[in-house]
Amino acid sequence: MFTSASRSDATDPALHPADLPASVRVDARLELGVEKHGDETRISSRIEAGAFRFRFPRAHGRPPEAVTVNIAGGLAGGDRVSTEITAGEGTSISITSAAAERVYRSACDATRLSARLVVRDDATALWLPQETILHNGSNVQRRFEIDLARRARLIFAEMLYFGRRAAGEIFDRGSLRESWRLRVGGQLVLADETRMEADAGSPYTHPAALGLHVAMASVIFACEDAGEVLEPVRALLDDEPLVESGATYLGRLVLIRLLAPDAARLRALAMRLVNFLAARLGQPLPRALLA
Amino acid sequence: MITATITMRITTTRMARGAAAIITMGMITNTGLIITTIMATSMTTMIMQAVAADIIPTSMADTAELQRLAWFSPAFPVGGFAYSQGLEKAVETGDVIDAETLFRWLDAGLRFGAARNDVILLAESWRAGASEARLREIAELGIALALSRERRLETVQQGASFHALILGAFPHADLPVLEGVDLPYPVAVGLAGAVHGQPLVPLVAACLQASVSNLIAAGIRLSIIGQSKAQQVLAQLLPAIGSLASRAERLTLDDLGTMAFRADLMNLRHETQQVRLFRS
Repeated sequence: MFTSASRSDATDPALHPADLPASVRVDARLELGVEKHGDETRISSRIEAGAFRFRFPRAHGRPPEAVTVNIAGGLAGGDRVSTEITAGEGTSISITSAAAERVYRSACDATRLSARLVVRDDATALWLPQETILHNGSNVQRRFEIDLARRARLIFAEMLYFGRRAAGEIFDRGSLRESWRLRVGGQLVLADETRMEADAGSPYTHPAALGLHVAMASVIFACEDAGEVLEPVRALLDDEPLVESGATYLGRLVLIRLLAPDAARLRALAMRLVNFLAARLGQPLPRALLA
Repeated sequence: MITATITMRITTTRMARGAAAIITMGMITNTGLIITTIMATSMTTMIMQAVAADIIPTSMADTAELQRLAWFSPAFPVGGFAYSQGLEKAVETGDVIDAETLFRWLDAGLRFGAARNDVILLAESWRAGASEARLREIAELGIALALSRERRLETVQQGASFHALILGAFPHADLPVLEGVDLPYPVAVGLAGAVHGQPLVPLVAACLQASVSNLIAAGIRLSIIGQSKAQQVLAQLLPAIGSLASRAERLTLDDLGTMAFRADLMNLRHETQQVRLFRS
């Protein structure tokens, strides 16, 4: 269904990925389940369909670190990727990606990304993908679904860059529809809906929208005593005045939002936050993220 | 906290004593507000009583309009004056400094921000009518969509006050009590409107105008505009209010979504604001 030769052509500006025929579109599905055996977390199920793979760098004495790899290199209109991770009772798992995900300009079809994470009681999950870079003109629909058991622990961090800043690109024609649902013990505790549409008549640079910012991050920290990190997290945020940020405690979880006029600063602050939060849970950060 | 206590009292009193509770609340705020509150409340009460007693002959449509005037009057004690939806922070950061920037900020809310989501929640609750299961679902979503502790407090406290006032002063056989359910403000409004036969678009328009007016009044208290500029800002916003209200019939939960990233962030940042008049 997909050939790497024609895909790599997609990075050639003369041939827009949006023009790729359906036969080379990505339709990928990743599924991973882990369960506890004695004191160890072991992989109990693994599905890799389409242009995405899991890699597991050797992790002696550490919880499994899953690294997702997009062997297609970037995503275009019409591509679909769904990821589902289930952390069984008492397990520990971290998930990250091998590289930043690029979403190319699309002529019509949306790029559809969905992710579902299930974390059972006494399990700890770190979901820390590398940033997603939205090229100008990309058309993205994303869906995140997180289901936590009452005694589950989670660090989730997600970064979005609007436009290729290194190339001086401004994101003013792309569109983004995003839907988040986070449940604890079956109860919906966090929902977010994003709707950016270039033709809706309001510029993304509106001061109530992005203003001068080009990058955004969301960090969620959930555990039974999550509220205790609120003040130390705020102290970390205060140390970086060039990133506009805030943190709030929503009962059982802390939500942190970052907006920055500079992607590198945003990433640096997000890394400091996840570092602090991971230490709090006594979990190592995935090495692929630190590399 | 004070407002919540008063609301609990109103649920157990009759309308005439409700006015007394409002006076108590007015006194906590300032002298000017007391007078406005008492006058507006007693006038609305008198009109409603006259309608009920058939002293003023009126059609059903007129009753609906009078109800809206009562529910969205600043005298209807839902406690909106205590909240600014992050506007107080936006004033501190210098994003909102005068009539023009206030207009731009509130206009954004109507076009791509929280006000648009609230209209969708109101409309869906109105459609749900007296279906308790559906209302609980929409209420849960409405609270989950409020992405800061203060925004949750704001919408849930106003929703509880509004619902309690409707149960006490505008009772209806079809109105569920919904004990123990946190109702976001737009959900409580949609429910009351459905039960009392309010047409959707005028209901949304009245509710939006009241919410926007409340934020403009916050602008006056934050000393960025005066009384007459405030009316100019409201007049300027009327087309956007009307346009959003007229779309309410077509908007469903599938249309939820905002891009008011910075406006939303102001709600989070307000939680650590040092000097503050407002609770959000």
